[in-house]
Amino acid sequence: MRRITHVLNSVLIASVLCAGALQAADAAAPNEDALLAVLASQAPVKAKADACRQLGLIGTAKAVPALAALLGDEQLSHMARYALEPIPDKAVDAALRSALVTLKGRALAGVIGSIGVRRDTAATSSLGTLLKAENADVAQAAARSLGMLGTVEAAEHLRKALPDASAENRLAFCEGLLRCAEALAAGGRRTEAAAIYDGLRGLDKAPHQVLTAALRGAVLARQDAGLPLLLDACRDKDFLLVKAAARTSLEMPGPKVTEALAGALEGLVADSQVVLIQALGARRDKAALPALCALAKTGGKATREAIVHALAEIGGAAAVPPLVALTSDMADDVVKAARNALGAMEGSEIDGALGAMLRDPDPKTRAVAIDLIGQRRTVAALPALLEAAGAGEEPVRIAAVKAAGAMAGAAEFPALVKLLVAAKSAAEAQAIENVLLQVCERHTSLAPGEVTIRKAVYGDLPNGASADVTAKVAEIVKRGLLVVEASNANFGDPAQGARKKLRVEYTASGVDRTETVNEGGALRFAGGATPQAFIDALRAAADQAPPASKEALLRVLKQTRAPAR
Amino acid sequence: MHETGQLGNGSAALTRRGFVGTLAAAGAALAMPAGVRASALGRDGAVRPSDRIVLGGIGLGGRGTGVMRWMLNERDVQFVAICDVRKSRREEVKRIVDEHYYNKDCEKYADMREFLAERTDIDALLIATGDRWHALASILAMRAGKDVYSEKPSCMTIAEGRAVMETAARYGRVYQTGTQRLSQDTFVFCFEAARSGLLGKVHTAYAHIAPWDAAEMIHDWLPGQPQPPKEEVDWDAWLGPCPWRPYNATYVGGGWRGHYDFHTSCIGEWGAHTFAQAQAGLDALDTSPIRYEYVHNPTGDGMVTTFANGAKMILSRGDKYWRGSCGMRFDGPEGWVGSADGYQKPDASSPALLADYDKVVRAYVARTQRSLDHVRDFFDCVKSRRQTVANAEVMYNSMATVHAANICMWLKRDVRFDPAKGEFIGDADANRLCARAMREPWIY
Repeated sequence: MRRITHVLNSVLIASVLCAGALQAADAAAPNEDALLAVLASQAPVKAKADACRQLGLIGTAKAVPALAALLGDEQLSHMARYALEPIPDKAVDAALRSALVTLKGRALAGVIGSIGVRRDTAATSSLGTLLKAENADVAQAAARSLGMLGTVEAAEHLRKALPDASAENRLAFCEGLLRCAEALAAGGRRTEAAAIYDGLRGLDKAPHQVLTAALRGAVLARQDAGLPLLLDACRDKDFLLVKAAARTSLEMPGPKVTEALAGALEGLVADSQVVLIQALGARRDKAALPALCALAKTGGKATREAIVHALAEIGGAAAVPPLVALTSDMADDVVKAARNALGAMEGSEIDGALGAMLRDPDPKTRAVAIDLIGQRRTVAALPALLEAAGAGEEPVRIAAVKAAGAMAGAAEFPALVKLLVAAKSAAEAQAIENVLLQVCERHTSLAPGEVTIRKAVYGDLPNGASADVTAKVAEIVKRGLLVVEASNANFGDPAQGARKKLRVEYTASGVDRTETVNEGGALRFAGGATPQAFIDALRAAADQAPPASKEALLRVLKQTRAPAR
Repeated sequence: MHETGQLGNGSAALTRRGFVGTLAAAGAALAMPAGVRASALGRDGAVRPSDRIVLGGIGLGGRGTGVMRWMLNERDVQFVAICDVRKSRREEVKRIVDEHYYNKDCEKYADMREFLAERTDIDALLIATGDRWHALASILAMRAGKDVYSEKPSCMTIAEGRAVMETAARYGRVYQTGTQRLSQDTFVFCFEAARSGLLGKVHTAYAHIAPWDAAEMIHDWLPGQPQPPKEEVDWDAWLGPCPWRPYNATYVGGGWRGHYDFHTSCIGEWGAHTFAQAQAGLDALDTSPIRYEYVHNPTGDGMVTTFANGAKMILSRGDKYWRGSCGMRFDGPEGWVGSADGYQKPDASSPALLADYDKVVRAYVARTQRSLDHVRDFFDCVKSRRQTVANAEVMYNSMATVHAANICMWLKRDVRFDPAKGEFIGDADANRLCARAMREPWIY
C-alpha cells in the first residue's frame, strides 16, 4: 500500500510541478487543489516547497488552512509564509495572528515579520506583548513589525517598552519608532510624528544613527517650522549633527532654506562651513550667492575652495565675478579650482563675462580671460582674441594668438597673417607661425584617391604580437573612408588581452606620413591640399613683410607644399 | 543570532574626526587617485589617520576583491576588516589587505550581525556578496550607521529595493550601487548629449542585457552534499533570507547564477548597469517605465518599455547597437550616440556630435562637482553627505525596471507599472511577484 501511495504521489507531484514553479501564465499551470494535495501527501520537502511557491502565485483563502498548518514545521515554515504573504485574503492575517500564540523562536519571528509586511493592525496588541519576549529575535521582529504598522497605537507600545529594552534590542525598538513616525508624518499626523522624533532625540546614550535619524525626522515633520531646529544642528558642536543637518537640508527645497543655511555660515568652524557649503552647492540655488561671495573674502583656504566648487555648481552670471576674483587667490589650489570651474562651466553669460575681462586694463586679468576662453573654445570670442593679439604686452599677445589658433578658421586666416607680418619679436613670430600651420592643417582637403597605404600594423605594438593589416586598411580607404577605427571588429584580435594599437604608414598628396592610434580610437588620414586662398594670402604678405616675418611666412608656405613663386 | 545595540562609540570617534582636521572640499578631479602606502603609514603628504574613512567589507569574492583593490588606492581610506561566511575568502582578503598596508591588522569576521555590532569604528562598507544578500546586508549596515557601497544587482525584488531606499533616507546614509559606468566619461558624454538636446528630443534608448542565460530561472536543487563545518562555510548564513535547500559546493563557488532564489536573470545581470545608464540619458532616474511589452523569446531581447513621457527603452541582447559589454545607445531625430565597455570615445551617427566631447564632459564635472571615478564619488559623498551618482533612489528605480521586465517575461504578457507606488496596475498576479517572504529570522 505504501508503495502505491508513493507512486501516486510521484505521479501527482510530477504532473503538478514538472513545468517549474513560475508558470502562472501557462494554460497548463497547476490548480490550487492539486497543489494542496501535494502538501497533504508524503511528498518530499522539495516538492512541498515548490507547491508553496505555486500557491504564493495562485493561492486563495482555500489554501490558508493547509499552509497555516505548516507554520510550525521546521523545514517548511518559511515556505508556508512564502505562500501566505502574497495571498490577498484576510484569512491569512487571521492565521498568522493565531500562530503568534502557538509558535516560538525563529518560526515565531518569521510570522511576526510576515504580519508586518501585511500591515495587519489587528495584531498590534499581540505584537506589543511580544516586545517583552526573552528571545531577542522575537522581540526585535515585533518592534520592526509594529513599525511597519505605523500607527499611533503601535508607536505607543514601542515608546512604553523602550526604556526597559535590553541593549541588544534597543536599536530595533528605535527602528520601530522611526518607522511609525514616518508613516504618521506621511499620513498627515505630523504632530504625533514630531513627538516621536523628539523622544528619540532626547534618548540617553542613543546610537549616533538614531540621533541623526531623529533629527532629520524632527525637522522634516515640522516642515517650515523645522528650520530653526535645522539651523541649531548646523551650529552644534557635534559634527555628526552638523553633517546630518547638511544632509537633511538637501530634502528641503526652496530659497528660504537656502538663505537660512547661507546665513548660518558666518562664525562656524571651517569643517562645518565646508559641509554646509557643499550642501548649498548641491542645492544650485542662487540665493546662496551673497553669503558665499562674502565668505570667499574672509574664509579659510578649505572654505574658499569649497566655495569655488559650490559656485561652479550654482552657475549663472552672478557666480562669475566671485570666481574671477578667486582666480587671484593667494592659495594655488583655490586658483586652480576657480580656473577649472570658469573653463568648464556652461552658459553664454560666462562667455560674456570673460569677454569683458578681455578689455580689463590689468594684463593679468586679460591673460586669465584669454586662457579661459581658450579652454572653453568660445568661437564668438575670436574677434576679441585677435584684437588682443595685436595690442598690449607681449605675453598677453602671444596667449591671445595661441587661444585664437585653436579655433580659427578661414575667416581669421588673413588677420593671423597680418599679425605675423607685424610681429615684434622672434617669440611672437614663432607663436603665430605655429598657429598658421595649425589652421592650414585643419583646412586641408584630402580625397581618398590621394591616399596610398604603404604599411599598416595592428596589435600589441611595438614589440608584441601583431598582424599586417595593410590590405584591410587599403580596402577601407578604397571604399571612400578617411577614418579607420582601430578595433578587433575591423582587424581581428592578434594579441588577446593586450591593449592594442594601429599604426599606418601612408602617403597623402605626395607627403609620407605615419599615424598611430590606440585600440578603440579612430585614425584620421591627414595631408591634403591647402586652400588656395591661404597660399595667396601668405604669398602676398611675404612680398611686403620685414625679413624676420618673411622667413616665417615662407616656412609656412613650404609646409603647405606650395612654391614660394 | 541577533543584533546588538552597542553603537555609541562610533559617534564619539566620528565627532573627533570631523573637527581635528579640515575637510577637503568635494573633489572634482579627473585624475586617478594617487598612491597609497605612504598614506597608510602616515608619511609625508598622507591623510592623517584621524581623517581617513574607515572601511570594511562584506562578502568579497572576485568582483568584490577587485573593487576593494580600487578602494585601497584611495589615500583617505583605511580598510580594517572583512566579514565573510567563507573562511577561504576571509583569509584571502586579509592577505591582500595586510600585504597592501605592510601589517597584520585586517580583522576577520564570520557573522555579519556580530561584525556590525562590534565594529563601531567603521564608517563605510563595501558589500559584494552574491545578489541574494546585497539588499539585506545594505539595510543591516545602514541601520548600524554605516554608509554603503553595494555591488549590483542591489536588490532581488521591488520590495527589497524600496526597503533599501527607505533605510538610506531614514538614517541619512550615503549609498552607492556599483553601476560604475555612470561615472565613466564615454558614458557620461552620452548621457549629457541625450539630455542636452544635442540629438534632438531623444525618443529611444537601447540597453544591453547579458548574452547568456534566460529570463526564466530554475528552481531545481543541486544534489545535496555533506555540509562543511560552519567555520569553513556557514551554509545557513550563506542562504540568508532565501528558501532553504541542501548544501552543494557549486552554489558557493558561483554556481548560484541562474537559480531563481539567488539571481535576477539575464535581464538583471547586465540590466542592473545598463538600465540605469539608459535612464540617465533619458533623464528618468527618478522613475521607471510604465509599460512593458512581452516578447516571444526566452530572454527579453527586443522588449519595448515605455516611460510616462513616451520615451522608450528597448532591451537588446546582441551587438547590433554596440561592440562591447554593457552598452547603451540614445536615438533622437538629430542622430545617435552610444557607448560600451572598451570605448575610448563614444560611437555617434556623425563625428560632428563628438566635436565638443571634452567640453561636454568638463562642463558635467563643473556642474555636478562629481568625480569621474565611481568609488571616489562614493567617498567624496561619505565626507560631504551629498547624494552619490548611483544613490539608493537611482538603484531602486533602475532595479524596479529590471524586476518589472523579468515579471513581464515570467507572466508571458504585457504589464503596466506604477513607479510611484512600486506596484503593477490592476494586476494582482504581477503584484504577487513584487516581494518574497524572507526566511526567519531575517526581516526588514
